[in-house]
Amino acid sequence: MNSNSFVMESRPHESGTKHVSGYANYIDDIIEPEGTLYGAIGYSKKAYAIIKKLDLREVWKSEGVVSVVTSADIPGRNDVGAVHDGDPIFPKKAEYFGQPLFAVAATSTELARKAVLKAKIFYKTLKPVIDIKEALRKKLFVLKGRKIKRGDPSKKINKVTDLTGAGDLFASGFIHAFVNKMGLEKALQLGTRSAAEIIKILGARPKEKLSGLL
Amino acid sequence: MTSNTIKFIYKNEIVKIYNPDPNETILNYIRIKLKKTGTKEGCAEGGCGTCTIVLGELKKGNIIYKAINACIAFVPTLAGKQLVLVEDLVSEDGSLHPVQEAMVNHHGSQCGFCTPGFVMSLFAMYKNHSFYEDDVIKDSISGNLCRCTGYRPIIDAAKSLNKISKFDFFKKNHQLFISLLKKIKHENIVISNKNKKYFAPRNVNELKKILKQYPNSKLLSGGTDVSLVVTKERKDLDSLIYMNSIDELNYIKKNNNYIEVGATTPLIDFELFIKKYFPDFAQILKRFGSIQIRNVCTIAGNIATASPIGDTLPLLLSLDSQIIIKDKDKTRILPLNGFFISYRKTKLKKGQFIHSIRIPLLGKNIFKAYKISKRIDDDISSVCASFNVELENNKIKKIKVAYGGMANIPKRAVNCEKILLNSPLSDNTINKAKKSLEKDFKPITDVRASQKYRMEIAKNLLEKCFQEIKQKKLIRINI
Repeated sequence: MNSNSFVMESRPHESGTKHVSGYANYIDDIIEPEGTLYGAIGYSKKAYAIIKKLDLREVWKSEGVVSVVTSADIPGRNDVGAVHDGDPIFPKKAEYFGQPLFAVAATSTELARKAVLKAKIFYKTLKPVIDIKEALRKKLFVLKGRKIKRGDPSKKINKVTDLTGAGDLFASGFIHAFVNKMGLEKALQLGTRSAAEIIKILGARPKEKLSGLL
Repeated sequence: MTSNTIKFIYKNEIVKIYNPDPNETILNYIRIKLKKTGTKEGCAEGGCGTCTIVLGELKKGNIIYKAINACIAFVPTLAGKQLVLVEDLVSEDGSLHPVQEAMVNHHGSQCGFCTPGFVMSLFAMYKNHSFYEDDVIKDSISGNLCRCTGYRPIIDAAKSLNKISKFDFFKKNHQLFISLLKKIKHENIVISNKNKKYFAPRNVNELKKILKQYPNSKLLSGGTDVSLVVTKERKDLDSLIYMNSIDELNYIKKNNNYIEVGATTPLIDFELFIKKYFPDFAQILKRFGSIQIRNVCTIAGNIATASPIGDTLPLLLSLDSQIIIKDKDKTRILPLNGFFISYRKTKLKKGQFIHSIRIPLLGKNIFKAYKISKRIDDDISSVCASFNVELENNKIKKIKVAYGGMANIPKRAVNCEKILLNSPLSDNTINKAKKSLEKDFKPITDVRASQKYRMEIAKNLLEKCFQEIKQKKLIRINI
């Protein structure tokens, strides 16, 4: 084996030492600058419901609270969907239990968490759709269906004669040699030979034992 | 002799906290005040173990290291202990503790968030055992959840410790820590911080006085229920009495008729003792909760909480246990059967406390207990069943059957007992008894199990019990 390669060598996790000693800093572990405010989020207690009213007066009055924000405070789009819309920051209709409805900033985490529990939320509960058949019947798709097509394949491909299995056989030959620690070169050889063997015949199952190829 | 100052050992010195907020968790204290952020918050209810810390305690002149969940333990309960955090395992020169090194070398971390908790659980195992067999390892980490690496490399790391020297920083400084722990006087602790009071009495007399003066106080042992008022409901506990500081109640004694367990005896000690008399009781305790939980929780706490899925309760019911209840003036001995009135309500009145529990020793009886939960370790029962049977010439002479998870209280199956009593041990009897459980229980459907499943499993456990008795062998897949 090439001494510059790490393949098949056991290396420790690059952050392993930090993980086990408690010095791996996660977001909540970073020492905050003076005056940092702490957030907490108010969640929906219903899995599927229209939010009729958010009464946050008691939240505002709660100790240490500096700010409370709801969907009304969002100046631009109330959506954080990275590719498609449909991921509101604070929705008008809750679509899962625990969906964020509002947020609080307070002088400490504890006070922020205490404050969010003081919200009075009025829901109009809706009947959730929880199985695939019902969702199909009601045509409740997450996204619109898409088709990617070029030309008219049905005109060109009349009848499929064989799925060669060359890719699968390459992988299986390669992996067999690799896990048996035969080295990269042998692994590549067995992969390509296995693939070559299978395309000689119809069907994706070899007739001969492929271990004989080595 | 009272004090409002909490003294404990951290690193090489005695730390003092004057009049702390009694509702502050040790986890918050560590992360916010000590600014040690290796210890993480996960579930905040003593379930996931990422907040695991280790407390050193003097016991018979030696230090016992106990893993606990810092998220549900309050700061004043540190009094008289040695606090050990994941950062403290690293030597001053930066070299890792053998446990930490094993975790790195065996790829025991991936995202790393649960890792400090695992390290601390393994550290406690490393300190308290001399050989790490599979069951010791699995039990030691049963209270730590990992959602990415998987447990196999962590178990490998633990196994590798068998080949490693037991000499570490804590062994080296053993005498120093003992002398520091001895320096801390065991005083009654009384804290009054704003509107919150906290008492840690050192003896029963002191407890009685406090209860008389503050009858609305909540009694705290392991805190798996009480602490969640703070960590989940975010409410204040205005008046707390910490029971586990009363050494007088930390005992197990036995005579010819019964075993008596004091109210503050941790489950982990009781489990070791009871194994000899009722092996199934010890088995259920292993699955009652993690080591972190069993290190601090008590049978008295389980009884007083009176949860329908408290795992010791059906066992104690079928064993016909008694509880000794005291207040300022009186002592009462009550049978546990009938003690639970309705959902989480008991006969315990304000100003009273559970002093101890008496478990009758059996003659020729056979005692069996089973727990069904979605996960073997660290999970809440769907159904817990317990049977106490005396046979004579293949006839059932005495029978006590009790279930948890089948009603709003842990409950004896009286109709079922009637069918079984004085009946021959036959398939016919068992079938009738199974059917009669429908009269005894109307279980509910919830996240843990459906009504139908609960009834089915309750019947099947009864069948299993008698099949085991008939075939004179255990039919278990979990152990």
